[in-house]
Amino acid sequence: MCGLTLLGALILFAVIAPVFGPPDKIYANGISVRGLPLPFGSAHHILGTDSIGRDMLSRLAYGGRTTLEFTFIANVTSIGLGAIVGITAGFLRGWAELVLMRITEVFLSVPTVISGLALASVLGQGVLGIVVVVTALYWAWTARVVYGETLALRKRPFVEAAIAQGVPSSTIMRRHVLPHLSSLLLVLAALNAAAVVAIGAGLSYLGAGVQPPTAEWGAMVNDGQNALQYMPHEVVEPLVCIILTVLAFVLIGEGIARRGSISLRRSWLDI
Amino acid sequence: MARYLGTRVALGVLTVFCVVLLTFILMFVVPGDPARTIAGPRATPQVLALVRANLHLNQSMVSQLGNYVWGVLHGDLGVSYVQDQPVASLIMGRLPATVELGLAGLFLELVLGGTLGVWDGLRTRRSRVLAVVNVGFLSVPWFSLAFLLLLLFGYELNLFPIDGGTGGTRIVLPALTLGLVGMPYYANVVRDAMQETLAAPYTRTAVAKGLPRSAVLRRHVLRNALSPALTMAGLDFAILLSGVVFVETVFGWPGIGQLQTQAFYNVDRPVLMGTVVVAAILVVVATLAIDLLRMLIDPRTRLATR
Repeated sequence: MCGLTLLGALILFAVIAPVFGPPDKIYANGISVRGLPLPFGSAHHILGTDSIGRDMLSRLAYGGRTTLEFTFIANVTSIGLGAIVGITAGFLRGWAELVLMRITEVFLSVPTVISGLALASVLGQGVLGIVVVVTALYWAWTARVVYGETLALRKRPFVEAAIAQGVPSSTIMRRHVLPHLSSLLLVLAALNAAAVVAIGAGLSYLGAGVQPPTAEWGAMVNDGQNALQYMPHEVVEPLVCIILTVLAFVLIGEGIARRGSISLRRSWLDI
Repeated sequence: MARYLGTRVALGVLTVFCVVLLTFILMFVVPGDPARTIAGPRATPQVLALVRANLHLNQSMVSQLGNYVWGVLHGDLGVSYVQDQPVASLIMGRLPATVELGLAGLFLELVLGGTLGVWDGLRTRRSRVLAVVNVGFLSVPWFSLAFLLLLLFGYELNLFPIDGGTGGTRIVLPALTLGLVGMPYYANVVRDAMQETLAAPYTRTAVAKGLPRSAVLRRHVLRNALSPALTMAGLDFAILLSGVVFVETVFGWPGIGQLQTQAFYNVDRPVLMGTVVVAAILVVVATLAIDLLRMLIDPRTRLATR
């Protein structure tokens, strides 16, 4: 419940972003006489300004839009791909299982951030880049969990009955297996979203994600890190936003898991 | 046993080969001309052709792949486009710093997570502390935690040097970041294992034959409860060795992760490929080594029963 409220607040913050003014406008009064950005709590810029005099509040809100956008798309694609591979491998067994799970294992054995950088250098940057990188690197985790669960489901009487009746495999997977995986998939999706927010912001921080003119929290941290000593608000504010968003998704995931008594031993956030 | 071992090794080699293949294809299909990168924008066609011939870029894709795989088998990962040094020696040069940070981080993870897990496992009711710590640290991504620690201990309290590099107390903050991020995983695993061993028949036997509480805990409970954490630590170490990009970037720690970031900025493909391949090899070797080690230590996991 806490998680949903938090996520709702963040979505609201991102939706009403235009209220706070344009994110790219460089305010003439946004830089102090000494050439420094305005600190937290200034009169016209409540959260201060960044190093070239843009309003932090507005940039944070637009950054929220960017984050929610890539998180939503990348989450759907990676969970979707993982679920399809996992169910197919677990249900069909035989050659499909052997090949699909071997591919899954290959993707599980490449460390995320390093391969993310390598992939980003190939695929280019921006929201689309993050989506592709995240999908390529995260689908395998879902696939492995879903695969294990499908193996167990396959032995359940209603599935065996359907097989014995000669119902086509694709129908069984869609009508009998998938519905029983729904709460597991919800938990996976929530935890995966938390990981996507973190890795997306991280890649943008390294310069391999969303690129500077676009407002994005990780990129804002990168912008502000040179003035860390004098103006920590430039780094702290986007960090707080990132942490709150990840927290919202983790809480949602834990909440659903507790209700459905699903336990995932090793969590997902190994980034 | 020998057959099982053979299968496992073969599958590991296959996995590494697939990673090599994937990275190679990816790097091959990218737009952009490596020869142009090396020779500069004003190079004549003759110079470009010479560079291509030197790097064997004028050969077919299949023969280039063959060369690369052959090189990997001999520990040769190609030559960096930018730094004009073999990739393998670049990685080796960064290895000491990464090993140092990896070991320190792993140590902190184990100590912090293990203590928390044992403490919680010994309670009859699950404490809320562990749940809060779990959610809390799971929600703070690596680079966020790194920045928060840097701000708090480096800038506000002035406890540690913040100028980057290795040596002295510079390792404390990056290692602490790794330790805190890894802590919840270990705490969970140790807690679950503690509950399992405390309820196990051999613990009951030990108590029943009148062993003092401390001896039961030390000899029977802890030894069994810590073994899954050690298994996890093996894989973790492989991942830490392959470079912790965010932590190294934030703290300016000159390890493999930083090499990787530089290679990314310079579009230095051989270095990028090399680090990914080395990382994959480390993970595969670590997984195999852990399984074998566990079989050696813990007779229950041996395959004789199957």
